[in-house]
Amino acid sequence: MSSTTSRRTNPVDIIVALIGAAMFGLVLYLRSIEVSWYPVLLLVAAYLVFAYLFFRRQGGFGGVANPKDFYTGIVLLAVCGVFAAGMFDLPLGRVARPGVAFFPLMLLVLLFIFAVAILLSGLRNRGEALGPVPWRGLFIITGITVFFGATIKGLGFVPAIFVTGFVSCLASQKWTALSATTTAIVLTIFSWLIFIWGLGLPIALCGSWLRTALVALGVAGESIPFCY
Amino acid sequence: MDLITGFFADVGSNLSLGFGQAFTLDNLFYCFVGVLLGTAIGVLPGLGPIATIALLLPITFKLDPISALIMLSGIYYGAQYGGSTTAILINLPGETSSVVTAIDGHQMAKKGKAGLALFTSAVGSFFAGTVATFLIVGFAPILAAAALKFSPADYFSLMVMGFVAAVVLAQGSLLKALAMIVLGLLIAMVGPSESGQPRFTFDNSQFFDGFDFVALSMGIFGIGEIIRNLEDEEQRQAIKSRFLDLIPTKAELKEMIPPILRGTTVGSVLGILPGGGAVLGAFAAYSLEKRISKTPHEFGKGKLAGVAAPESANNSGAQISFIPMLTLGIPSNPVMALMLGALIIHRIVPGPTLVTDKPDLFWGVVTSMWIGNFMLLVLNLPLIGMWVKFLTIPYRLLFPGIVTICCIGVYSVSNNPFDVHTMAACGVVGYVLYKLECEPAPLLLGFVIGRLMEQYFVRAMQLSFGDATIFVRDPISLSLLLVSAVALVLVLLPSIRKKREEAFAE
Repeated sequence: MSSTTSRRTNPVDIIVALIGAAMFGLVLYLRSIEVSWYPVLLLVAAYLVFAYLFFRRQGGFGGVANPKDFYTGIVLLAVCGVFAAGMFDLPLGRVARPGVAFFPLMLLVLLFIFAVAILLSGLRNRGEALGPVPWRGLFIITGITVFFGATIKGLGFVPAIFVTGFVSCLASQKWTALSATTTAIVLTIFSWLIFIWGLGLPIALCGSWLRTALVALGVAGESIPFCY
Repeated sequence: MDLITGFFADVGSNLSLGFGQAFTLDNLFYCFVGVLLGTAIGVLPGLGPIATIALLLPITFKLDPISALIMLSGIYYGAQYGGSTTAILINLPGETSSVVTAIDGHQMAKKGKAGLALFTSAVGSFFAGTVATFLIVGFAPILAAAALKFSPADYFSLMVMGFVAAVVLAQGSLLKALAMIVLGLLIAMVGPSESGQPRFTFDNSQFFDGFDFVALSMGIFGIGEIIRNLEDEEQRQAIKSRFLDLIPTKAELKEMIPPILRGTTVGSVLGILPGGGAVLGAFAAYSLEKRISKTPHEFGKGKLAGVAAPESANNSGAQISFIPMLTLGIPSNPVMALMLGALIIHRIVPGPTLVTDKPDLFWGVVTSMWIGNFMLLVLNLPLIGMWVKFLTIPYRLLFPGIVTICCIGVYSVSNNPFDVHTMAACGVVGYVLYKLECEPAPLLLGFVIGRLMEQYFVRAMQLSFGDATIFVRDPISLSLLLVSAVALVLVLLPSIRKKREEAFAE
């Protein structure tokens, strides 16, 4: 994180953002008329044209110079798209009586302006590369969290915690079967002590799937302790 | 002269009424248990004050309202101290206000000064808490009356100012920080609108309640942080600490006093503002220290003032943020929202009449805050050694525990598996933000304040019949906006921007 180039905000970007914000302010002055999508879309189009012309005058685009900025812009534009898609059927209302889409629309326009400005700065100002991603850790940690959410009701507290504890250990490059098993056992006992015995959380120790399975296999009768 | 004596008589009678309530054996006991439990749970990595309070909330339901609120505020202080502890020891801030503490606190821990950082945090918090208690007792009615005069437009501008403060203080690109705030605000829009109409749910019933704050913050700061740390495992494990440096030297003591005083002042002033008083206070105090420091480049590398000032501001701000909650019924942060919920369960509806209708409750809680802070100091200074020991656990053994506790903690908030999945998604988001050098703190701030900000905006527009100039015609609102504008322009000025970059450059 020693790069200062990627941290620099070029005055040009700020000017573009400010002009965008000023244009956006115009929407607020469309007083006492029914707010519709048309002035907003016009504003967006005008802003895009303006930003494009401005940056072409400033020296144009020369490929992705700063991936961190560029991809931030892309991600934010995608977010804008999702929110815009969710907004079309919501009433905007009037300026004097803003509808449920009014405030989100303001935010959306602002985010759009910022996204474009960040994206363009990613094309112009040099910055460092993204660097390696710990895919193994990313997948294991995310996956096990999803697994916990999906199975806490079915498997219950003890099996879910044990598996979560064990599999999370695998995210480290230096895991061993022994340390993972020990960690999982210790975690299960501690979690039980703190959350079930201590705090009395209403979570079944072994869940509904497990109970059904145990009963079906004839391992246990209908009333297994701690299963509900 | 009469006015002054009358004022002191008021303070005296309020205090004695409060201490009369708080100094019963039962309430002292509940306060103690609250502080102990709050610290014990809050110090667990991944469990911030919000999760801690949410977890311990059910215990208080059987108590009478005063004891319950006293215990809850004990839990709050304990949890907050626990949050600062994890911020310092393993760079895992439990809530937004300890994000600032983590910057220098964790660097101090890396240098082997964890004990000193924790000591500073405890003493700073206690001092700030003491001052804040007296401020509340003396000025609560006056401040409440003043805050009542704020119009919706003023509140809106107030929040804008809060955001600008956060942006100016964020590291890295200003544009990105602004974008993060707006993104946080937008995410807050998901779920029911004020009129009850669902927004951005894409007809998926899981989104109807919006995103859970605990899941969002635990995902970004807990899970995302773990993924990020797996990038360089070696470095994480290398951290070792000496434990014997708990008692500060005279020079260190001298060094921490002025920042504590300044932090307390900043926190108290900003704490009354609804909309993240503690967070804002911590950020502002940190930047103030950095601005006036003769060695600003030492910030971010383990500067004592970088812990002392935000911790004091954080605590005085947090304590004073009880005022808008109790007197206006406006929670200024998620923790206060939880407290509000607890009060309503006890059939107490906070509002301007609470001080006069239930003075025993109001003043009892206020004085118990001070007692809670005192207990925190007595309880935690001897136990610091124990908390510091967390550092010796290698990270590869620690993170499976954090993952597990995050999962249980988020799940336990409302026994909803969807919250756990939200957390998983937010973990990825947090990591992506880190990769793209976007600060997540402004996002969280935007998310917390989003709904409230929209309400004030809509109300302001309705009151002015759609005239957007209301925000600049109202003198209070105008001055708040001017302050924000000036702050933003100052940061954008080339010479200062250069300095800011130098200041944040590691």
